[in-house]
Amino acid sequence: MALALLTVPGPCSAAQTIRKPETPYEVRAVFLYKFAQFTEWPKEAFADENAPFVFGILGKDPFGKDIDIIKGATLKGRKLEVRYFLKVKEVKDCHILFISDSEEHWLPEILKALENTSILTVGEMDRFVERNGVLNILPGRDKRPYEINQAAAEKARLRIHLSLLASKNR
Amino acid sequence: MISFRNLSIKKKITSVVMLTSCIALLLACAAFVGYELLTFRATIISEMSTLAKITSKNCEVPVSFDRPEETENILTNLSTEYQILAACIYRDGKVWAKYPKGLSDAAFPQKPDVGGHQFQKSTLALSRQILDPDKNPIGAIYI
Repeated sequence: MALALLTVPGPCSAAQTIRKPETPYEVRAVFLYKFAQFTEWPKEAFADENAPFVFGILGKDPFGKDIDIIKGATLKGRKLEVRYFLKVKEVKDCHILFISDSEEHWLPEILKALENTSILTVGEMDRFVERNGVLNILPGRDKRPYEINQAAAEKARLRIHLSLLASKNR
Repeated sequence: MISFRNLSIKKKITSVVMLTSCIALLLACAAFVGYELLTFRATIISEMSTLAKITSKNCEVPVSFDRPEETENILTNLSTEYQILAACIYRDGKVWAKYPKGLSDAAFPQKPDVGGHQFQKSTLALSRQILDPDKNPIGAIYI
């Protein structure tokens, strides 16, 4: 029920490679894809013009096959790549990093290690934005199923669309 | 009744000059009205097109994130433009958000002529595509 509230339809006629999401983690993947569409990264976040847009998953992967819904899609004119990391030290050339629940215990250390990067950190856990994560997914919420730490986004030099910020921010 | 043949040369010349002037004036008026009508239509299409583009831009996020209520609030801003009678947003091929909110879906065409415009009696109907930042179509606006 709670997950159903995070209903974000697929880009339908939009990005032809992305179909309408069906499972809760497909919904999350498409939501993050769209969120990235309306967020600007600094130029330096990409090695060159042909560098891919990297969607990272840190820790135990909760998406499984559901992430396939966005695999191979293009984002900001770049190929979207999904990469898996076991430790924060491995995180490199990443633009969105989904921090799995399995890493909650080490969250302060992880976010500290990513402090001077332009990575949009995403979590789905209590007090994620209070602990300086950028975007926390709140599937139980009706209208805006997420919260943003605007200060953390600014520190990472991410420019999030104003309409997305118009929620309960920190 | 005095026939034209019986008029003096002076009066004949005056009549011919008057008639020619009247015809010239009428033609000039017709040309002026025609030109005004054409430019007025072009101007109103351009103005409505700009308004549709701005409204579409403002609706990008709520359309993309499936927030019809927020989209309708944005459309309500069109009430400041007294000449706008109705507007709607199509998503997945259906009327998804509209202004005024209470208007029936049947008041809008089932399939709008996206990118085109139509003058119907004294009204203009115009439709434009709504694109996401990657320039993919995510809906359409109809004003």
